[in-house]
Amino acid sequence: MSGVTATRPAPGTGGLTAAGPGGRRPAAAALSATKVYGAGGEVAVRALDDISVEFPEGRFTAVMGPSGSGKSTLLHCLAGLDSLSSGQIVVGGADLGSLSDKQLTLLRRDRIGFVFQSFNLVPTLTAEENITLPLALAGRRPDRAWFDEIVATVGLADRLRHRPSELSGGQQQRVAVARALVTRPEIVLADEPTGNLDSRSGAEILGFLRRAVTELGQTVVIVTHDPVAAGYADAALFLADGRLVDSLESPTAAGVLDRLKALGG
Amino acid sequence: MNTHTAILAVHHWGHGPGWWFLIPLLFWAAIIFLVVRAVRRCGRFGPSWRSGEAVLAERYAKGEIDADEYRDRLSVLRERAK
Repeated sequence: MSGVTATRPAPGTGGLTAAGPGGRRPAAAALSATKVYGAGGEVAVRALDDISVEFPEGRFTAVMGPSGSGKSTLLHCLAGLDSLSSGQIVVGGADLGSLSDKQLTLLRRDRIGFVFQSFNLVPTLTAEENITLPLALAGRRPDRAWFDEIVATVGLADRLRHRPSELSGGQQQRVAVARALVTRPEIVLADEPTGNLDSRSGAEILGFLRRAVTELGQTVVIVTHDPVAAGYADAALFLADGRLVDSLESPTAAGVLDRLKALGG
Repeated sequence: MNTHTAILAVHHWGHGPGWWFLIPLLFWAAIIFLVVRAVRRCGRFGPSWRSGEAVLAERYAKGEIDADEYRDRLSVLRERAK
C-alpha cells in the first residue's frame, strides 16, 4: 500500500515534496504552502515554510510534531480557516485561494468535515440535531441510509435524543465525528480529537475514524502529539519549525515516539 | 330558441364571477403552505431556533468561533431578541 510519502530534498532544491499514490487524485493538497505571521518585521514567524504534501483519498494521515511546529496552522489552512502567505491549498480540486468568501463557505460546509478538541457541539440541540446541523443549514435532507450507517459506526443509536450535557466526553466527540461525516465530505480534518478525552474514549474515537476510512472510504487527517493516536493512521507526517521533515508508512506508536524524540518534541 | 340562448348567457355570465372568490382562498392556501414549509425547515430545531442562532451554530460547528465566543454572541443575540 502506497501513501503519503515525503522525500528529503536534494541539497539546493529547497522544500520538501510529498506525493500520493500514482494516478489517484488527492482529496487535498498543499503546494509550497507558506504562512508567515508578522510579515516584514523582525519578529516574523514562519509557521509554515514551503510545505508541499498530498493527502490521498481514502487514507488516514496523522500530522505530528512538537508544539509550534506548524501542524495546527497546516490544518487550519487546509480547512480554509486561515489563509496562506504564499503557495496553494487545494481541496477536492478547488484552489482555496481563488475562491470567493461565499464559495469558500459553501466548500467548507459541503466538502470539509471538522472535529475539534473541544467538540464544539451546540448545547441546545440533541445529538441527532447536532449531527444533521450541516445539512439543515444547507437546506438538505439527510440521506437516511448514510445517516444510519454513520450513527451505527460511532455507536450512537441509543443516544440520539440526548443533549450534549447528558453525554460523556467520549460520546460528545462521537457526535462530532458523526457530524463531520454526515455531508460525505471530501476530507475530515481533526485537530487533537482525543486531547480532551481519557485514553479509553480516545482509543474509541480513533477506532471510529479508522473505520470511517476503512469501511466508509472517507479521507481523514488528524493533528496530534500522541504517538498512540498516530498508530491508527496509514501514514504519519512530521513537522518541525514549519517544515515537513519526515514521514512514516503504517506507523506504530513506538516508531513514532522514536522519530519525535529525534525531533526534540 | 332566443330565450334559450338568453337564459344560457345569463346562466354563464351570471354564475361565472362566482369562481373568482376562490382566488383569495387559493392565495391564502399558498401562503399557508409556504409558511408551514419554512417553519418545518427551520423549526426542526424548535421554536427558539432563529436564523441568527443558526448562523452562529454553524460558525461554531465549523471552528470559526470558539466556545466562549459562541456563548458570548448567543447571549447578545438573545438579549436583543427580548
